[in-house]
Amino acid sequence: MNHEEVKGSLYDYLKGECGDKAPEIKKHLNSCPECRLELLSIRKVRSVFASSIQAVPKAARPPVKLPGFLPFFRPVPSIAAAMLLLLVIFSGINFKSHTERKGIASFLSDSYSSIKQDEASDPLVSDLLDY
Amino acid sequence: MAPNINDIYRKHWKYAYNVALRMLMNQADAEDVMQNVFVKLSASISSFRGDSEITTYLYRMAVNESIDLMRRRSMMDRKHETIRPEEKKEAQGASTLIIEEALASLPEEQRAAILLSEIAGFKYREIAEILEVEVGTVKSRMNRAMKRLKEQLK
Repeated sequence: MNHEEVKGSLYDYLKGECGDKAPEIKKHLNSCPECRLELLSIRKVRSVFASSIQAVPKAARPPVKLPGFLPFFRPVPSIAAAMLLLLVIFSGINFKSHTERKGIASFLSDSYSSIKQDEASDPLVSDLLDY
Repeated sequence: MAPNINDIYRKHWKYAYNVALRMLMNQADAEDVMQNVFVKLSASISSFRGDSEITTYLYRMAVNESIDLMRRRSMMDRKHETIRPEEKKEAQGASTLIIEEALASLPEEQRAAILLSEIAGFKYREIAEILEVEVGTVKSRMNRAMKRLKEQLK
C-alpha cells in the first residue's frame, strides 16, 4: 500500500474494517507523521460523536416490560403457589407428628397395661392392692 | 429463535433515538419520530424472523422517518428561526453544539451513514442493509462525510 492508499484507509483501520491490511497500515503509521496526524483528526471527529450521545427522554421511551417472570410464574400466582407448598409441608409434619403421638400413646398404654398385669400377678402387690 | 423485542429496545433504542436526534437536530421531533417508529415496529413485529431483521428495521425506520420529517417541515430553516443561538447554548452541551454545526453541513444521506457508523457503531455492510444501498455507496458517503467533518472540527 502506498501513502495515499493508507491515508484513505485510516477510517476503516480505526473502525476495524480494513481486514488483512491492518499490519501494513500500522507499519506505515510508524514511519509517516502525516498519516499519524490524519489518524488523530479522525479520532477527534469520532470522539465528538461519542461524547454527544444523550439519554432518551421519557417521552421517547418504549414501554418495555420488566424482565423476569414467565407468564405462568407471575408474582401473585408464585406467592400463592409458595403458600400452598408451605401449607402441604407443614400439614405433612403435623400429620406425622400426630401419627407419632398416637403411636407413643398406644405404646405407653400397652406398657401400662402389661405393668398392671405384672403387678397384679405379683402376690405382694396384689396384697397391697387388696388392702 | 423468536425475536426478543425488549432486548432490542434495551440494546438499540438509545442509539436509534440519538441517530434521529442528530438527523433532525430537534428533541421534540426526534421524540415524535421514535413514537412513530415504536407504533410501526409493534404493528409488524410478528413478521420478523430474527433480532437482526428487527434491528435493521428499527434503524431504517428511525432514519427514514427523520428524513421524511425533515423534508415535510424544512427542519433546518424552522430550527434556526425558532431557537436563538444563546438559548441553544444554554440548553445544550458543547459537544452537542459542535456536532450539530458540523452535521448541518452534510447532505442527509451522508449524515445518515456517518450517524449509523459513529452513534450506533454499525459496520459498512450493516449500514448498507439499513439504508438499502451498496456497501461501496456507504463507503463513499462516509469518506465524503468524514472529510467534511474533519474540516469543520479543525
